[in-house]
Amino acid sequence: MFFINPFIYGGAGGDFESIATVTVGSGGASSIEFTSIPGTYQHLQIRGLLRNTASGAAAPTRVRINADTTASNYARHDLDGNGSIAYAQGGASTNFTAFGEVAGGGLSNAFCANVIDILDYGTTTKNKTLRFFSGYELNGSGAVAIQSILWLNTGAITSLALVPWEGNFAQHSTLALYGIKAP
Amino acid sequence: MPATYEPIASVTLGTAAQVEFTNIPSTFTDLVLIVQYGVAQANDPLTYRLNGDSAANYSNTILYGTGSAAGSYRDSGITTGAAGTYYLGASTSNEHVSVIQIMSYANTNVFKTILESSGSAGKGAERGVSLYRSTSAVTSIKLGANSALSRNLVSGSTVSLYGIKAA
Repeated sequence: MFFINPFIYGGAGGDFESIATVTVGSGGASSIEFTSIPGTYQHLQIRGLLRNTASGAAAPTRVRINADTTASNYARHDLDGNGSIAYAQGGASTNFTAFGEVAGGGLSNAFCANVIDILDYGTTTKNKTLRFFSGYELNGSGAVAIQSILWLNTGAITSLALVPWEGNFAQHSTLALYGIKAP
Repeated sequence: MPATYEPIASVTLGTAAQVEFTNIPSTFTDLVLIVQYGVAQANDPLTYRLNGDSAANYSNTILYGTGSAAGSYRDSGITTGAAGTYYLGASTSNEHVSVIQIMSYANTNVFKTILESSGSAGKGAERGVSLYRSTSAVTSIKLGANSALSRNLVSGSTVSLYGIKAA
């Protein structure tokens, strides 16, 4: 067996920078939103855990970019595994993921993990694609998926919100926004 | 600005072995393991245990593709988390790659949810989610092969641990 006691040798600075973090308190939250996103990065990544206060085991998560709530401005496709079968789904006029949060009826202390990549978020010549890698496991049920959400708008992204399907985001839900610089 | 994505430790095996990271600092938000490895036996997944916990506190849901079929399966109430599951087959040339992300590993209010992406050219690709049913902060990670974590990774396997720190 090979044992390693870790040591930290990372230096200062870097091209993967933390921008902001939101952690939901005891009162819950109707959404988690990052605003005034600086245009100084090439790509964004959001990492975190989500759970809502509604009933059920899991639920979709709505996406709102630059305060745009018009569903017809979004589309979604995903590839999912639910522990029994692999399946694909999607469609136009869809501004929510297949799933993104454990619901209040799911296993206590369990959350859905999400890693969300937004490439070229600041460009004004491309529509924007959010790529989700999401998964939740409840020890008897669960799902893992890769999901894409398209925002049919060439505007630079300056704000991004995730909104629970029902109820509020539960305490300890957390999302962290990171920026990735190009060389 | 302080580094956000930091290397913590890395090892390349000079002989077949298991790997354990201990005394992991709690100062990061997420941990990322990048593993390029091989397993000697065809049905051996890459597996791990957290905090030395060998009880049935783990479960996995996997989405996989083999080049001829896609599917999904689940293991509940088991003694290891898994990545690079057995659909990738045996490899003694370290051609399997797994990226394992342990989200909010030091958060004592949540069970630990782990996302994994794995693949091996000519064999298959997968995405998985694992749950470690403990709210304890993760301070050690042990990796090896086989569902009971009873076999080694092959010589030449490389395991690197990174920390990501949120603001």
